[in-house]
Amino acid sequence: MKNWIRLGLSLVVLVVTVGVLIPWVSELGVFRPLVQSNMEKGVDATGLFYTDTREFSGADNHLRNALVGEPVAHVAGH
Amino acid sequence: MSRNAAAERAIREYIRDLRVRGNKLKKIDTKAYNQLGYPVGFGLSLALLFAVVVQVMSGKGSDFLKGFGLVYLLAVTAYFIAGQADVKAMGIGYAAWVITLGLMISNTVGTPTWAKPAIQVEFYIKTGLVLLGAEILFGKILIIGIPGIFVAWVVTPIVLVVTYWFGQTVLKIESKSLNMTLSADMSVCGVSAAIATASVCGASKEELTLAVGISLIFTSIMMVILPNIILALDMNHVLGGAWMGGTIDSTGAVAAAGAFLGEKALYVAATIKMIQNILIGVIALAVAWYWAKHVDRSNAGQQVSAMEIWRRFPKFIIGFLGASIVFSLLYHALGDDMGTVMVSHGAIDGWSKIFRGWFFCLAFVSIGLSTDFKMLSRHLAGGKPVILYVCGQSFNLLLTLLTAYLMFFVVFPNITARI
Repeated sequence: MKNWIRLGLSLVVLVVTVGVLIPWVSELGVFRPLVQSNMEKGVDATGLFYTDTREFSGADNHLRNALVGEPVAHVAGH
Repeated sequence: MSRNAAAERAIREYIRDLRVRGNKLKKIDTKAYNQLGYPVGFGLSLALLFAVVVQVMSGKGSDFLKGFGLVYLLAVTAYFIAGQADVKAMGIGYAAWVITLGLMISNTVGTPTWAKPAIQVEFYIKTGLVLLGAEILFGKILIIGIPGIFVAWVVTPIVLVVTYWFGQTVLKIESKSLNMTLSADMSVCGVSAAIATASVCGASKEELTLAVGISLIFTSIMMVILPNIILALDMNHVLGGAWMGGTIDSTGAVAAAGAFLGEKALYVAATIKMIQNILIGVIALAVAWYWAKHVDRSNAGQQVSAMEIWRRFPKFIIGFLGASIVFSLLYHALGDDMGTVMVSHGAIDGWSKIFRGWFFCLAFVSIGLSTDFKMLSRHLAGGKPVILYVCGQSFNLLLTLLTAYLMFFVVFPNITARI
């Protein structure tokens, strides 16, 4: 019985952490700008590998075009 | 400013506005869908697939099926929590939640006996790692040229070796596998590197949990602090991006910190991190070889034959590297554009990364369900793992910044100018 109460209490702590503590922390001055930026730009900050985050695909395309394609030299040249 | 540069800037602003508007619309148009059938169907498919394999391997397929429900339910719950908007924006992924859930059960009421046959840490991890191999496309390391290769492929192994040496000789960490897992976790790319290295050097569940936990905490801190330091110092965003990409452990946190600074920082940070991600294959192979030859020996001082090294060598590495080589060759053969569509967006986004994510999640459930807090605290005794992480990361921050500056501003300023 004691162990089930401990499990119940830890579940309550988990729910409070996810539902109250983390949203509160995300509103604090230090975290807020970054959290807001992630939400606005739709960045998934939880990705484990580069394939989990779509920003990596954009970076890949941009750098490939910037460093290999050299559009500036061809178009703006004259 | 040339008209071309102005047009490029306008296009970038248009794409950014489009994305911001799209994200706002998504929030407004959110409707309730009943998607319960998908996880149930997916869970049943996974259960059957794994049960068949377990049956072939050990003849205990039906026992596995009885326990898989609990393991899968915890994995779904972890994904559910990680999807909460604030949790997601703070970068706390499923790995943290699923380990927490597992630990809560195993250290209170205890893991039910009927669930134990489905707790297959190695099985899930190694299957996930072979799939991860498919995502390691070696052609990607050339994207940003020599400066990127230097920052990601020269600094990272140096930091890994120095941190491991520091842990062994200065801190005298008892467990070599914990030292190596933490060093790789901190120097390469966080959780995914920890999983790969822990598997090849035979780290215990507690050691992997500790490495992942420390990495997740420090990643959240660095994700917030590093971009603010860069802004406060008015650092060039290419340099700042390279610094963040080379030092922040988790890939998602690199994207978040880069996007916070701006597009240029994001592009550089993401590319450096991507090149560093690809290094996992080489690191895993090197650690496996080193462990088989120098560490994993019963009689110290005895010469180890090639056959013995092969016997000790973790064979799943062959599948891991094989998948990487096959998919890299396929990507190369198809060319960048077709390769992106067929391999990156097709095979990887649509298949391998989804299954790999679930397999790692199931592995972390199993780790949580079979980890004892007492064992975990024994590894933390004296705070040596935290000291190792802090010292290694400090060295990493200094060396990465110095190398990025030399590479992007002294040796190859022409590349920096074109980014």
